[in-house]
Amino acid sequence: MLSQVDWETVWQATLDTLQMVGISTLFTVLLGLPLGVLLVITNRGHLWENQVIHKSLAVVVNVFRGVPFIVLILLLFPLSTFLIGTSLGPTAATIPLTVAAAPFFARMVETALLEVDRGTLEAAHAMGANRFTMIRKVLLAESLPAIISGITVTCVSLIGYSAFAGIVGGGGLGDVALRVGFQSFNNEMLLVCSFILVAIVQIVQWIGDAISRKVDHR
Amino acid sequence: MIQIEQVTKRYPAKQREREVIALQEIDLQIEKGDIFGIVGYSGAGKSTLLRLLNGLEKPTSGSIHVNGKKLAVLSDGELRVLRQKIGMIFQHYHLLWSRTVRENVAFPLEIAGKTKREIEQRTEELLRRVGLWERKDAYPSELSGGQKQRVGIARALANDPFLLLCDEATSALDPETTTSILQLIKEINQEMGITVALITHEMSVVDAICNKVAVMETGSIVELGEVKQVFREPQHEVTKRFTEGLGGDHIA
Ligand SMILES: Nc1ncnc2c1ncn2[C@@H]1O[C@H](COP(=O)(O)OP(=O)(O)OP(=O)(O)O)[C@@H](O)[C@H]1O
Ligand SMILES: [Mg+2]
Repeated sequence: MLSQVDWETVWQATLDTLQMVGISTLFTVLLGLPLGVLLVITNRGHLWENQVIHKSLAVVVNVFRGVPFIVLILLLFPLSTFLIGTSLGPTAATIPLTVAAAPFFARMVETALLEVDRGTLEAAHAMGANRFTMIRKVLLAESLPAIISGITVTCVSLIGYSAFAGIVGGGGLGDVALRVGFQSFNNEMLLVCSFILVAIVQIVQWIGDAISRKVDHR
Repeated sequence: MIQIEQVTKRYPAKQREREVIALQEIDLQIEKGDIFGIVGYSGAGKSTLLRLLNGLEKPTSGSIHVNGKKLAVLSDGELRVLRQKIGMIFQHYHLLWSRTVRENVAFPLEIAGKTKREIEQRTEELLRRVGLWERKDAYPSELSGGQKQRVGIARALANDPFLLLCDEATSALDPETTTSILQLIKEINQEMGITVALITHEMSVVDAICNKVAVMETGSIVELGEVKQVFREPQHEVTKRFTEGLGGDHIA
């Protein structure tokens, strides 16, 4: 059983995948959260109505979401070369991953914020809150459970994406599964890599659900 | 305390909707210490009128003075400071789900930049006042409607307002709870000297606590005066319909 598994390679690949997913999730949130907030507050009749910004952002987000992910990754790899001098390795892969996932996450943030009762926002307004306070203490605080679910979904998607990104140069479990497992007919390696990917997804989902439930007081 | 002069509010036409004239040349005064009732059918312009008083809406024309200050000339910052001194409660409470009872009451104090100590002290005072100290760590989802409204009232009182605006604050409550909330509002008015402006669909609410009343129909005030007077001799058709159900005996 599993005699053909090179555990050292698997371990390194797991670390690479975790690194890719961890960093790209972090940056996706850092980029997508303000983008989602902007999408909402610039909308008609909202806190900072601005049709020009709103429409432009919506177009950008839709373009990025419209292009199939694999194509986006291929298109964006040159960006990594430009930004950090190489398009190889897990760090380089985080750039296309982030750019691909941020618009996706921004839309989820938008949906989450739109769920916040306009009445609560109005109550804060009536109390004399400024915009910044309303965004932070009403919009974001009230939609926290939904935002955490969004982060979970994004992270899970990024695990899948990272397998693709790995194949075109990022390394990690997807890459090993393809090159060592599939192309070299090492089924055990293929299985082990797949199993670890599934396990990571499961763990992320559990943690995300647990946190989301904990902060949800509705 | 509040002077509304010749105020008109129009909502401009949108793609598919026509222009709405929500308020038409309204003249109104609210004196310090009043519990001022505003009644009228749905769409009459009651909420719009109330929201003018804390600047949530701006009039299309006319002027509004609150505490001697003309609202139109206040900067955004000055308006926010004024709003901290005007409490508001709502039919659907509009509490923050993400915060406990105590944290909800703390919110306006945070907005006013109070210290942690002050907030702790003040929230305890307020929650004891509205009879919810035992539930301070509960979340709004764990409270009954009447309890939620008490939290809403505690929150509205946090920064020592001079004016309390109530937009159908009891419309979602059963009669018994309504009575207790009205009682609380009346006590607040008497003990703290806070002026109250209150919207309702029910004349019984006006009867219970208001001293003055304005009856509205399609953007205009059709009848205005002392509650006793208006109840004794209702002039306008709408007023008559509103007072009909009340049974005249306890009014006189
Ligand atoms: N933001 C808005 N945009 C356009 N029209 C509005 C807006 N707010 C209110 N209106 C219109 O103004 C009129 C008065 O509305 P308002 O909410 O003041 O009525 P109301 O007396 O409070 O009614 P209800 O008893 O149903 O709460 C209505 O015709 C309403 O459709
Ligand atoms: Mg209304």
